[in-house]
Amino acid sequence: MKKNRFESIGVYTPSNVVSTQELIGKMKVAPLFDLEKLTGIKNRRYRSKDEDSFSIALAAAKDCLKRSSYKASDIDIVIYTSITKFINGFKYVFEPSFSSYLRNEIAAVNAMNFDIMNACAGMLTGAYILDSMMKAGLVKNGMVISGECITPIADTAIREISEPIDEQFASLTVGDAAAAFIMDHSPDNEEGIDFIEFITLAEYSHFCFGMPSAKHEGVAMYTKAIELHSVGIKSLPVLVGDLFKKYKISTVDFDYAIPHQTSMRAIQTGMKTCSEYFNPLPEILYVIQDFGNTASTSHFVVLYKHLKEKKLKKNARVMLLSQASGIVMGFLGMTIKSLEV
Amino acid sequence: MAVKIISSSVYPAEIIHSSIELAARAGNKCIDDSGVKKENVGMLIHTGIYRDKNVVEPALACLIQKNMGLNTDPVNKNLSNRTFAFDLFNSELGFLYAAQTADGFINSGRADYVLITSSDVHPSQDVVPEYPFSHVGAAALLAKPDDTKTGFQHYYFKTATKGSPGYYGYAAIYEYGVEGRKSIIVNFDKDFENRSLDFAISAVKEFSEAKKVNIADVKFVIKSHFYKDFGKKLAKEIGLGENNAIDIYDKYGNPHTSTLIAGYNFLKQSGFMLPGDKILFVGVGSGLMAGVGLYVA
Repeated sequence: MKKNRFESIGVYTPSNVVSTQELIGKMKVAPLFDLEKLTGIKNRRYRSKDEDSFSIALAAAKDCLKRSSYKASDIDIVIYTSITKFINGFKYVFEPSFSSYLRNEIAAVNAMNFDIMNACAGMLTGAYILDSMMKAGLVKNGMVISGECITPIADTAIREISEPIDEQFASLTVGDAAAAFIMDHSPDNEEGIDFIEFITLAEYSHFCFGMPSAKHEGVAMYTKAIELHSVGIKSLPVLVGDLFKKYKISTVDFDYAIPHQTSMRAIQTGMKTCSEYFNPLPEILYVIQDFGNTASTSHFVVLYKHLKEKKLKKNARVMLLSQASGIVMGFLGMTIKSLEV
Repeated sequence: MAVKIISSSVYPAEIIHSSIELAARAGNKCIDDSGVKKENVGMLIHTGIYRDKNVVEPALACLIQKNMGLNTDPVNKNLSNRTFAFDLFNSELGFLYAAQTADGFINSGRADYVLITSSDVHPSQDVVPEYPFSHVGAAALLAKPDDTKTGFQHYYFKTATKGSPGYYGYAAIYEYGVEGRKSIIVNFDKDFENRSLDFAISAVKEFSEAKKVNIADVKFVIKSHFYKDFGKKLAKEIGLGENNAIDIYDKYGNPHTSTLIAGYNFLKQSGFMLPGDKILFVGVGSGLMAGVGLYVA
């Protein structure tokens, strides 16, 4: 089957920088650990008062279209993929779909549209859906968009954490960001997506919940961080081994790895558990220091920043590793040739 | 290429008012009835919108997968038996988008069987008079048909480019105080009934022209019904008899995202659906949006 590629990507990050020290300083009870040291997160971006999931998603979509060879009217399908769907401030919209607003705002007048939700695996799930629809001949191209206005959970955590150990600590790692990509058929069948694999370890789906708080107005995320990390550590080498066998690949097939940006230490521990397969380890790409965990947009924020700074070698082979509440584990391997920022 | 519904089920709420439970029970019954081994269901797409406690993470599909006991722990059991789950939203046409998505996964060789579930409940998990939708769960199992001339043959989707979406469903989380897990607002425009009917009619006409489908050949219409006579009016306006419209309003009220599966299930159980029959699925919803799918039994 013909390969598909990321033809264009766009990212928007709010300009307001908030440091980990600043967040910790607002808390009634300081954590028992050094959050910055543990996670590697120095700063994250916060939305301004005028921004919400919709406005930042629109900015990313426009940024993506700006450098695409496609006009909005050429797009066959728009898939919206964020966890947060805040519009007009903090109205969480279930209907109509965000994709219908965005489709109309960017004038993708010939596009079908729907929303999906899959926690932090949202954008990569969108890539999996779109890649499958293109392979089955249902569409020729498509656009995936996500606008994560996720820092309201950090605000709730600051307000509600009253013990040195609390399920809301992971909420302090997040940052706001939006991303978008356009996918089309590979022009030479070399550039593009080599494989996508996803699996849901639903037995552990109760380890992380995002929902309204029951203590104050606002949204919150409750994470059993140790349990989540433990399942990830145990599962990752098994799934990577299975992936390498299925696709007859090895570590030499990858120049770079982009994991979900949760915490520097967790990522490094996770990758080390796969040393039987990743030996030597491909270069791991991060933006977590400056942007924190930007939820479903994280892989594309990393990719964008590294492309923009021209840090990727020519014909780079990259593996994106997804880990999200659910527990969703996913892998996307690709070769980058013409994709630029 | 096509996908076929090989089994369907509906689970209306009686005592249980949980979107997870309703979808899971419908899902398990659907798989049991199909004869397909549960471990072979490789994908679960949940199309329900209104959910227990307004949970938005993880995907409700993951919680439904767990509740169903569907390949929940392949790393510790059998890695060959795995399922991928996610939520897909688009009002009452969500089922048609999910069917098309399943078509993509099945016909690109990534899944043999895709389970589509749906359910909507008030987030308080209680019966609230202001909430307009019935608490119902539904499920459909899709697979590649033996004969590619059967199953979903064509899809057509239409999104309005201007005007009001017709209705909004939202959680004004910062206005609810500590009641955010129990509150939802669904507000309909006064002219939604007429506008949604007109929009559905225009979508069917555009579908007929674009896909070269003669609507006169259609035997049954399975459609949204935000109000009782929607189906009769739609059937009449597209040139079919009132009796061609499958009406489940009296049976279920408006089960929102479960409407199209429930309509199909009702038709299948009636015994009137024969091999080769052409069935038109017509979903409408907030946006305005409409989806049309031609299905051959």
